[in-house]
Amino acid sequence: MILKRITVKRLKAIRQDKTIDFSPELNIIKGSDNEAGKSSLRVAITKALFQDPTTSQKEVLGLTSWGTDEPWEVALEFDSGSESYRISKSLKDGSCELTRSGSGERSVTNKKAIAASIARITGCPTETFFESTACIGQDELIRLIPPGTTKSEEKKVFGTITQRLQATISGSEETDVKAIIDRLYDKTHRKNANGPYARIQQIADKIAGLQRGKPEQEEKIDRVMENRRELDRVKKELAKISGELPVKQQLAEKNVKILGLQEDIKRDKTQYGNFKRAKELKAKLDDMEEKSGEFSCFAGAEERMEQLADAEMEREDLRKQKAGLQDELRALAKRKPPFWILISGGALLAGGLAGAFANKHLGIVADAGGLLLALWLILQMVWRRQDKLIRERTTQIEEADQEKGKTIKELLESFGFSDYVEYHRRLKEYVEGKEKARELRNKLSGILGDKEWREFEEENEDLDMRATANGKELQQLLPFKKEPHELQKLQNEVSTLQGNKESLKREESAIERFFEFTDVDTDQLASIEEQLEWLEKERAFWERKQRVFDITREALEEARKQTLSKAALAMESGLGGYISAITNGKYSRVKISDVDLSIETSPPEKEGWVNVLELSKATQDQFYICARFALVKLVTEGKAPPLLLDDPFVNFHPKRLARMISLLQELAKENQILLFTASDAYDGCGNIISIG
Amino acid sequence: MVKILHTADIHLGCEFPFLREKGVEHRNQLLKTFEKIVDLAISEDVSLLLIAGDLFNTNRVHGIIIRNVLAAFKKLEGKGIRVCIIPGTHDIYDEDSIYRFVNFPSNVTVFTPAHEREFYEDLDLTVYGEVFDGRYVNESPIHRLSLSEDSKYHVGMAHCSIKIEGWVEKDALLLGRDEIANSGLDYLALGHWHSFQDFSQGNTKAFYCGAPEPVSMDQEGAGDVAMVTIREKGDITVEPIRVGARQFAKLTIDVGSVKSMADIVPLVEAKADPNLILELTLKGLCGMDYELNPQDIEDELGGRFFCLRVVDKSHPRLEEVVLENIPEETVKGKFIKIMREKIESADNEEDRELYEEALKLGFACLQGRTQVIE
Repeated sequence: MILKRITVKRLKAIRQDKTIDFSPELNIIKGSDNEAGKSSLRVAITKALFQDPTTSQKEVLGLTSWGTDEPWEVALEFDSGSESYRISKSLKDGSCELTRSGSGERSVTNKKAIAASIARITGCPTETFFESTACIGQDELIRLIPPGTTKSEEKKVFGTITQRLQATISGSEETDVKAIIDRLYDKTHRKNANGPYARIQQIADKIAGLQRGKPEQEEKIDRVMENRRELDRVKKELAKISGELPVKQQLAEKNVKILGLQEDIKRDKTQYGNFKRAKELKAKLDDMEEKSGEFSCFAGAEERMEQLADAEMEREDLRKQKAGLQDELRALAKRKPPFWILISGGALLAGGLAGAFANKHLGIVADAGGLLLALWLILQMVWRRQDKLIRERTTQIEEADQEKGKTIKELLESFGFSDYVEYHRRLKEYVEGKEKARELRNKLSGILGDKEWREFEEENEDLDMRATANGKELQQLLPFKKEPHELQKLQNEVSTLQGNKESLKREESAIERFFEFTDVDTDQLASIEEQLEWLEKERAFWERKQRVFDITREALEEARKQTLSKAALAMESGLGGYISAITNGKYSRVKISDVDLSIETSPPEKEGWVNVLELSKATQDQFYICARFALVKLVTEGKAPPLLLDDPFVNFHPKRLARMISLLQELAKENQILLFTASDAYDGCGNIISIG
Repeated sequence: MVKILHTADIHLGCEFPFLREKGVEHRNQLLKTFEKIVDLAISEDVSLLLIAGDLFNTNRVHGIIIRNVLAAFKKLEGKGIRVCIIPGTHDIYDEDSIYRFVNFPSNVTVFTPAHEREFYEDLDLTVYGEVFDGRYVNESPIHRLSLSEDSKYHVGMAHCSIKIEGWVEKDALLLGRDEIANSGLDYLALGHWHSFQDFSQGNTKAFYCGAPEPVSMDQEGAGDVAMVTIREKGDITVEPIRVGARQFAKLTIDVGSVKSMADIVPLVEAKADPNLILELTLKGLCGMDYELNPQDIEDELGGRFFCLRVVDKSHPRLEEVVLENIPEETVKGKFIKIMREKIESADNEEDRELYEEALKLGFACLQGRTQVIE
């Protein structure tokens, strides 16, 4: 690309319309002082190529010369290959136009299309890219910081040679790709880097905290739900029992009633029989009482009757005594002393006496006879006394008997009887009647109990009706009648159901108490779940972000690696020649690191390779300039944009400057060079364009 | 004249993860709005309050919500206002149904499979409600309806969808328009759809009252209850009454039409309302030279809304990055080339979007705008 002519209106120091023609190789744009317009011309070239004329950016609008009425305008003519172009930009009306002359003239006014064409022609997609590759200013060298600088801020603003060279191939001005990659790494791997990783960790901590509290809440609510289900079950069972129990209870009650009625009826029947029996007894008693007048003599005469009975008994007793005495007399008569004793005694006595005369020893016989006689006499005396006593006693008894007979007679007469047998017969009848009446009364009393007859009669007069009514009721209930074992079973069921009902009621009450006193609030769990859900979404967001960061970092690393590798090769091939030319062959061998583009050279005074950072500041500048020239060729992909050099060699030693000018003259054969300077050192070295 | 207040879909206890830290506040608002409805029933001296399903968002509700609901119903009982409730699809009448456990005051009738009608002699009116128990789908909510001869007015309640061919053809309970027309009901109180809508057919007035408060990010029509006035057979008016505190709105901005964040701010600010839940969707193609950060918009403008959610569905305008114009020998050129290849060979949309985003992020960093990763 070769710039041919530029026309500038009202841009910075160039207040008047100014047209400048360029030569195709080395152009020395020379101004006498700072206000000559060198920088304005350089800006004009850049703006002509890249500026969007519709911009509202203040710094662009501010380029218009002070004191002029209209915004700046610029037009640039250039060749590229076999084509000639004219590009114009006007902030006055926001217009732009790129006209291609030569074969098939064509004019484009679309700013995007123009930008695309300029990018293609220059190899520089943006103004920034152009500035950072094809433009080299003196400040760039000033800003190369010496080795050992520790202030990170300085490193960031200025940068080392390698950083600046890397920035050149980054595609953007002063972009530290390595720093970006490191920062992206930190953001996705370090907790203190305030990036996705830190956010994910913070969210994970929050989630863990919430999840720690969640099971307790869930458990509480599960318990509530279990109790609800339990309450529902209890209520259902209670409802079922409430349906079953009354039916069974009624059935059981009916059967109990049946049994009661049967008992009542049986009792009533018995009672009715008793009533009938009582009535009969009562009738008999009444009849007996009617007849009791015949025995009125006995009524209230118990004492006399007793006296009579006693007298009769005593008389009988006397008679028995008398009979006994008579028996005794008869027995005594049989025990009268026998006469043989008397005779024998008399005989013996007589014989003995007689014999004693004969024989004294026969006197004994007389003694024996005497004894027998004495015995008989004694016995006779005792017998007589006994006989007398019996006879006297008999007499006494007979007298007492007569006396008793008299008494008895009197007593019998008091009852109206003359004969004790008749009396006794009537008395017996009386006593028997009385006894019978007593028996009847006892029986009646047994039926009546403590009740009076009247009361008993009243009680039992509706017995029949009641029995009839009970009978009817029983008939109605009989269809429900269960067999005893069935009734027992039914009663057991009722009892079980009642027990179950009470138990369920207790359960129900316990569950309701649970609900009354439980502190469970689902709102707490809702809050936790809510937070967890959005924290999970946040986490997913940051995880995605982390992935984006990682993808970006990996792609940047790959891009950087590939670019550095190629740049290192390009620099090695170009830099060696350039630096050798400038240093008059002192430094001709260079090695470029494909990791960071660091430059090593082999100086003649030392053996082996040394990093250029170990060389003098001026030498570092020269290496840097040469490396930049090498890189421009690389990154602009042979499009050869013009190089705009804003007096970068101002601090060069005159000898080296001379060699640099030679190099520029050489380079200008490939890339047109516009060197802006106030120095006379370049006079005669190229096309001198004086401004200002 | 019979006055009836019809509400539904209150969803007490609902969780609002999309509202993030404001979820609790909105959940509390549901309860406040329910109490507001109860106060409205009292101030308007209605005879009946109908709740056509989803009073609760779930059957797993316990604690303050139940206590407040019972207190509100008790308040109505004191004023002689009767309440009819049908369980819905969220508080479904299954074995865990909340309605099996809560002992409501005597003025409250909960319709269940065993109790599908309630006759109010003093109003000469019968309310009918068939309940969804989760067993069937696409069943009519009034298929067992048989009108009572004891009352003059017949009011139905149903928690269902209206069948709309090509749009709504399947749901738990589905009601056809012809069924409404042939129902013989004077009024059908509908629930399940969250905005006020009229589906009257024939002589039957049928309305969705809508949810009194929005419960998800797609309910722009929520916020009303229906005031039903029955003057005479065939003379029924139904009016929406605003009770909701919050509103939901959506705003979509095509980022292709804005140049920077500064251009977005006034568009969003125009909707500022402390009770508005605004879902802002960024769509279209976003320039590569500026970063749209949803979080920044939420941070800057969120305070002017009850809740502001920004959904970024925009894509970077990749054609701005013309690889041919960026030298491949630069890191930037290489990076763009690598990312382009990844985008083109992505197996799925998700990966493609990730690569696009990574391209935009890396591009911004290489442009010197490293704040995009800070």
